[in-house]
Amino acid sequence: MVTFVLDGQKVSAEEGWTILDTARHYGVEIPTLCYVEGLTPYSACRICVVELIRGKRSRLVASCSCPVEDSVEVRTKSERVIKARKVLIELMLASAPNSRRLQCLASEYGVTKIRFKSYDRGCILCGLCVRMCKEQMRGGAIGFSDRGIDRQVSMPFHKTPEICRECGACLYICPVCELPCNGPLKPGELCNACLDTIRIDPFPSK
Amino acid sequence: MEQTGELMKDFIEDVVKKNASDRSRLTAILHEIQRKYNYLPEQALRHVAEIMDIPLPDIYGVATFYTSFSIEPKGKHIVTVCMGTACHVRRSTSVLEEICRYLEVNPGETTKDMLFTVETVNCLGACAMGPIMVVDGTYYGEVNPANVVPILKKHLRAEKTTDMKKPQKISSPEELHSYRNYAIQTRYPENGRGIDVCCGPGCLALGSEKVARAIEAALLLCGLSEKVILRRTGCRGFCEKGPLVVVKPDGIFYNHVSPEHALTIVEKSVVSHELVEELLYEDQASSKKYIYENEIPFFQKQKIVVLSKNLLIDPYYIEDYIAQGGYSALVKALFEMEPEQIIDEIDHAGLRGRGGGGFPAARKWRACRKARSIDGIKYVICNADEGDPGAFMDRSLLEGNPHQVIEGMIIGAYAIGATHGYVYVRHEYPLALERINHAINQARDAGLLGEHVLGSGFNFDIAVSQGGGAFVCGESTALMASIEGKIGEPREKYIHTAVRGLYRRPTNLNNVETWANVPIIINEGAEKYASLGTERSKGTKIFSLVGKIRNTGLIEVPMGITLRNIIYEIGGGITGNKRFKAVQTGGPSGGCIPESLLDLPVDFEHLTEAGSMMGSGGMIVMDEDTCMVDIARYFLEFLGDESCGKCTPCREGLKHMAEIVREICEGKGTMEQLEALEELATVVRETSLCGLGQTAPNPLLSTLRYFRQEYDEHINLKKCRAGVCRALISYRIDPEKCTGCMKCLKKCPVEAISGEKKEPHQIDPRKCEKCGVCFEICSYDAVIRE
Repeated sequence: MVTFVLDGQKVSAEEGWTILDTARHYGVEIPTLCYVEGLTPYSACRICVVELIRGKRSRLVASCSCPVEDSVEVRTKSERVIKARKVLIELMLASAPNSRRLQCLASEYGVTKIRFKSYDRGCILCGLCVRMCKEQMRGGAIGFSDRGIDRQVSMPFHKTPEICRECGACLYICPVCELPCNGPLKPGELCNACLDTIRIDPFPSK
Repeated sequence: MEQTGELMKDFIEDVVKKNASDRSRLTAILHEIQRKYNYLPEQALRHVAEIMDIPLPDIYGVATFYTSFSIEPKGKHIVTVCMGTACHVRRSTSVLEEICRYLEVNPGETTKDMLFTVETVNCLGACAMGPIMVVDGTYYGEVNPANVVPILKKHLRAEKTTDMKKPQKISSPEELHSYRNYAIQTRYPENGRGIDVCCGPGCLALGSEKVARAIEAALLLCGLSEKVILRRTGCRGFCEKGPLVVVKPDGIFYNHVSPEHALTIVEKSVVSHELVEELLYEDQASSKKYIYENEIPFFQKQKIVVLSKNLLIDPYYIEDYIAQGGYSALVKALFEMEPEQIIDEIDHAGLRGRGGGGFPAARKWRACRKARSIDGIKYVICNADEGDPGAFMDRSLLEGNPHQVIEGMIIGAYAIGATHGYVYVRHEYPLALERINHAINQARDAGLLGEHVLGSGFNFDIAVSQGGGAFVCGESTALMASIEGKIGEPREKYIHTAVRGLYRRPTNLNNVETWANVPIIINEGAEKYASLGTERSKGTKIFSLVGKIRNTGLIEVPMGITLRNIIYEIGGGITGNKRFKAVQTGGPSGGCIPESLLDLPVDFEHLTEAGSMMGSGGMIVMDEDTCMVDIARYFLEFLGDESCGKCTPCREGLKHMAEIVREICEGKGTMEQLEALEELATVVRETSLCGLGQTAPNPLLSTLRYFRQEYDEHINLKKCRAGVCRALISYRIDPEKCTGCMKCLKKCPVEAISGEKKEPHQIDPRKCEKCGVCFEICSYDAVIRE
C-alpha cells in the first residue's frame, strides 16, 4: 500500500496504481482526453496534468501514467494546474473547434477567448483511434504518419488497407467527432453555452 | 514493369536477410532501399512489411517520421543546405534562396527534370566552415549567394581508404602489452619522424584528404615513404585554419596547407629541418608568427585531456590507439577492480553527463546495476545523435578516436553488468558511422569485444544503430524507440530507463563525451581527474566555438573557465571589429547569454542560473549584426520542425509561439501577443512530455530576459537594429560613394538595380527583395541598409 495526500486528504492506493486510478477510486474528477480505461496510457494530450509535490520541489505530471508514490502531495486543482489546463484547452480548440468534449471543457474552465490562430484540422492527435484499432479490435489499420505539426492519423499511402473491417470503433472512441451543442462552429469560435453553470473553482492552495 | 517488381522483391529480400529480419535494423533496411531507389517506393514498403511481419502503418509511420526518408521520388543530385545556428548567423538563408531561385524550386522540392532535389538540414556539424552546402555528399564551406551556382555545376566524389589488415587476437593483459610494444615499433618509430594531417570534419571540408594524398606522393618521390609515417589524425580543433599539417618530431605547425605545398613541406621540413615561412600560423592581433602548436594562443589556454589522443592517432588504426596506451584502463578495470569499485571511482571523480543535463554518471550506473532484469540482459547505449545545431564535439571524438569511446563503454558495461551495447549515430554523420563500425570490427577481431573480453570471464558486444534524421531521437526514450525500429517518440520517464529502458530491460545511456571520459578516470584515478574544474562540475568540457568569432573550432577547457576567457583569449574575439552581443550555449534547449555576464564561470550550475544550460557544448557567438528576435524565431521554428508531434503543448504550443514571434519579426506584433507568448512559454515548459518540449521555450525566455528592448523596438518602433528582419529594413545606394562599378547591378538576382557605368546606381524599392547581395559585395560601402 502507498499512502499520500490527494487534494488535502490522506489516501492509500495499491502499488502500481497511477495518480488517475487513485483519484477516480476516491471520486476526484480529473479530465482526460487521450486516456480511456482498457487502452495503454499514452500521456499525449496533457489535460490530466496535476501538481506533484515532493519535499520542496513541485512539478506538473501526467496523472494517467505517473505511478503513485509514498508521502508526496498531489493537487489536482491548484492554480498552476488550472492555468496550464486552460492554455491546453485553448491550444486544442485552435485546431479542433468542433469538439463537444473540448467546448464543454472550455466552459468548465472559463476559457472565453482563443488568442492563437485557429484552423479546423478536426483532430487533436490523441491517438485513441490508433490504439483502439490495434489493441481492442486487433486491426492495426491506421497509424501516425509524418511528424511535428504535420503529424496525422492516416492509413498507409492514404488507401484503406484490407485489414480494415470498417467496424467503426475508431469513430466511436474519437473525442472530436461529436459536435458542440451550439452547432458547427467556425475556427476560433467558442460555444460557452454552459459557461456559468458548470464552472469549477481552483482548490484553495492552503 | 512486372520484371522491375520482381527485381525489387529480390533486392528487398536480400536486404532483409542481410539484416537478419531484425526490427531493430529497420532504419538500416530503409536506408539501403532509399540509397538504391533514391526514395522509398510504396511497393517496397509493402513487401518489407510482409516479409518482416510488421504492420504496414508502423512502417509507413517510420518512413514518414524521419526526414532522411522520402516516399516521393527524388532528383539525381541532392543539394543540402545547412540551416544550423552557426550557418544561420552567417546568413545561410540567402544561400538557400539563391539555390532555389536558380533551380526554380522551393526547399524540399525536386526540379522538373528530376536532376536536383534541394533539401535543408538542421546542422551538419561542420559549423566552423559555415554556411555549408553539400552536393552529393561533397561539402562546400563558406558558400555565399555569389558562388553557389558554379558549385551546382560541378560535382566531386570523395574516396575513402579503408583497406586495412586485421589485428591479431589478444586474449590476456600480457598479450596486450606485447602487442603495444609491436604497435609502438611499427607506428611510432624511435626517431619519431612523421607528418600528421588533420582529417577532422572541418579540415576535410577544406580538402585535407587531397593534401594527405599529395604528401604521400611527395614522400614517395623523395624516397621517404618507408621512413616517415603519414598519419591522418582526428580533429585538432583549429578548424578555421585548416587544412592543418604537423611535421614531427620537431612539431612544426602549418596552417592553410594546400596540395601544392606538399613537396615543399617534405623537402624543407622533413629532409632539411627548415621552416616553410608562409605556412606558419600568424596571430591576427599581434602579427606574430608561431612555429609550434602548443605556443599558439588558441591552444595555450586550453586543457586538452579527453581530446589528447585525437592529435596522435589515425582513427582507422587500432595499433595507434593501443600504442598510445589505449585499452590499459580496460585491463585495470577487468583484472584489478570490482564492478562496485569502478562505480565508486566514477562517483569520486564527479563525472556528470556531458550530453546536456549533467546528471551524475555514477548514480545512473548504480541504479542500472541494482535494477533487476527479467532475463539478465542489460544494455548500455552511447548516444551519438548529436543534433544540437552548432555542436560537433561528439562527431570529432567518434571520427577522431572511436576506440576511446568503445573502451569507456566496455568498462561501463562491466561495472553495470551489461552484456549488450548500442552506439546510436545520427544519419547526418556518415563518416562517424563508418569509423565507429570499423573500430568495433577491429576491437572484436582483437578480442576486446565479444565473448571473454581480453580472456576474462566477461562477455560484451556492441552494435551500431543509425538514426534517420530526427533531433528528438537524442532524447533517451525516443532514441530507444528508434533502436527498436519504431517511430522516435518519447515516453514518460516516471520509471527511469535505468530500470526499464530498451526492450523494457535496464539500460544505461550516456553520450559520446561522457563515455570517452571513463578510461581517463580509471587510468589517472578519480583524485587527479577531480583536481580540474569547480566544486560541483569536475574535469574538462569540450565546446565547439562557432559563429562570429575569429578562431572557430573545437576547444577543450577546464570547467569553471569564464566565457570571456573562451571568447577573447582562445577565440581571439569577434570577427571584423564588430561588437559582441551574445553567446548561445546549450543548443535549442539553451539560451543566449549577454555581454554583462561574460565573466560567468562555465559550469552546469552557473549556465542554468543564467537561463541557459551546458547542453552538449555548442557555443555560438553572435555580434551586433544578429537580431535576437530572429534568433528566437529560428530556434522556435527549428524545434517546431523537430518536435515529434506526440504531446499537445510541444506540437501546438511551439507552432503558435513561432507564429507570434514571426509576426513580431514582420513588424505586425502587439504587446498583448507578447504577454500571451510568455504565458504559452510557461505552459509548454511545465506540461510537455519530454525534455525537448520542456526546454524548448529557453531560447525565447532568455532573449526576452536579456534583450527585451529588441522585442519592444520590433513591436513599437517597427525597427530591427541588427538589420536582419527584412520587413523592417530597406536598402539604398549612397550616390556620393557609388563609383558605378556595376558589380551590384550584375549580381542583383531580381534586376532591381539600375544605372550607367561610372554613374551612381539606384535600387528600385518595388523590385528589391532585400536579399542583401549588393550590400555584401559592394567594395565602396555605398549600399546602405536602414
